[in-house]
Amino acid sequence: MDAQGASHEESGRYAERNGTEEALRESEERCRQLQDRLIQAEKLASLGTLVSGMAHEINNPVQCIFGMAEIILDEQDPAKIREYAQDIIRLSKHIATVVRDVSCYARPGSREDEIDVDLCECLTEVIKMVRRCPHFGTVEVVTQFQPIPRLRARRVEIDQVFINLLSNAVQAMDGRGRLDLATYSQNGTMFVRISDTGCGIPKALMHQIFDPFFTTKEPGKGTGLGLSIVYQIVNQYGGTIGIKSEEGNGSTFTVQFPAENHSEEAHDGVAGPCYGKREAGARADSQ
Amino acid sequence: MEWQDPAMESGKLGRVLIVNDVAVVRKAIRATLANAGYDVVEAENDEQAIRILWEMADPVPVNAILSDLRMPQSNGTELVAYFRRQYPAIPVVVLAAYPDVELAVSLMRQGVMDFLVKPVLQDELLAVVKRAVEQGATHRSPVRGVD
Repeated sequence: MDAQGASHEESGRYAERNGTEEALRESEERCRQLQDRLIQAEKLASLGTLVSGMAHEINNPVQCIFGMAEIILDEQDPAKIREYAQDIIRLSKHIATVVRDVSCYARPGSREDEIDVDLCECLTEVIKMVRRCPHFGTVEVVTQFQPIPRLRARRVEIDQVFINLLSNAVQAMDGRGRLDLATYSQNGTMFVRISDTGCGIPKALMHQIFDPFFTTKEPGKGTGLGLSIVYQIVNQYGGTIGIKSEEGNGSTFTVQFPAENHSEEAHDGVAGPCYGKREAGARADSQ
Repeated sequence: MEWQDPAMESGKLGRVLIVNDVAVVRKAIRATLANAGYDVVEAENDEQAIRILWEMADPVPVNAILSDLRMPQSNGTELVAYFRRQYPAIPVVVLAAYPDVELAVSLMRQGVMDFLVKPVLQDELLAVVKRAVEQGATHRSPVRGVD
């Protein structure tokens, strides 16, 4: 083959490769669009549960606000008026919280905001936040972070996942116990394990814990959206959540993200060094 | 001798049982009904409601029941069915948070007197409770249900 012929063949191969790459990119884009549509479909499927739960969470306090405001109109006793007014403020705050949580639940995410998220760093930051909760008490935090790849995701959503899981764990321990946090990877799959020594989840309720507005907390203490939001977000990144729980003996939530959601950089490296530590939880701790 | 309703005897308009898991909801409804002249008893779940009805010494323990449907540890629909089965003389009003037409129809077929959807204004609530208590007074039979 002469030089011109070889060059022609090379151009042909080059064009063919370009065409294949283009087709691959289009196929990936179609996959992403399909995934987005599936996520939206799943959100719509849970809309019925969401709407009836939301009606309960909002109409209950609205009923009280109506009732109390109407009583105040005819009430002469200043102490009673004050008491009902305080109830109305508290109930209004609860409605605002529900609406905020629902908007977080329903917000369609944009892939443009995705960055390479270091899950270990996320957890470390979230622990600092959760420590400031009034019910953190003397919970001992033990971390065992092994190097894992970064996750291509929206940071704010991953923070939300860990905030919700850690807050639940801390609340389940009622100010004392041990919180174990671990990260590790197996065959490229990333794992984040959060274990507490709290009250655990009764077997009969296990199938409901991800339902929107399902809560075992006292009325008014939680919106019941926390774990539902966790489920939505993890699911959105193709992940899964495993739960082991025994009533009275604590719970372990294992969040797993698939290898295909690694950031592109992550194939060459890992997120930070392996580190682990044990800290006694003290509310005065100002990390 | 004609049977006298203990709740009416005490000068009250009647006795109403509120079943709702949220303390502040019970508080608001209690205040509305008590201000209007009703004697109010409260239950936060099905177990408590059943116990209250069972333990009350009166042949007809309450004149009307105002029950929520969605409670974390109780199945409100089953509870309403229990009330209708065991205490058919006591009118039941459902105070639901969600306008579920199918459920409303099914409950009305079971004999539920009214299906209110929150939020309900004071006048409407009082009108329905008044009607329920009156209906209870005309249809009562001094026989306690047994399980």
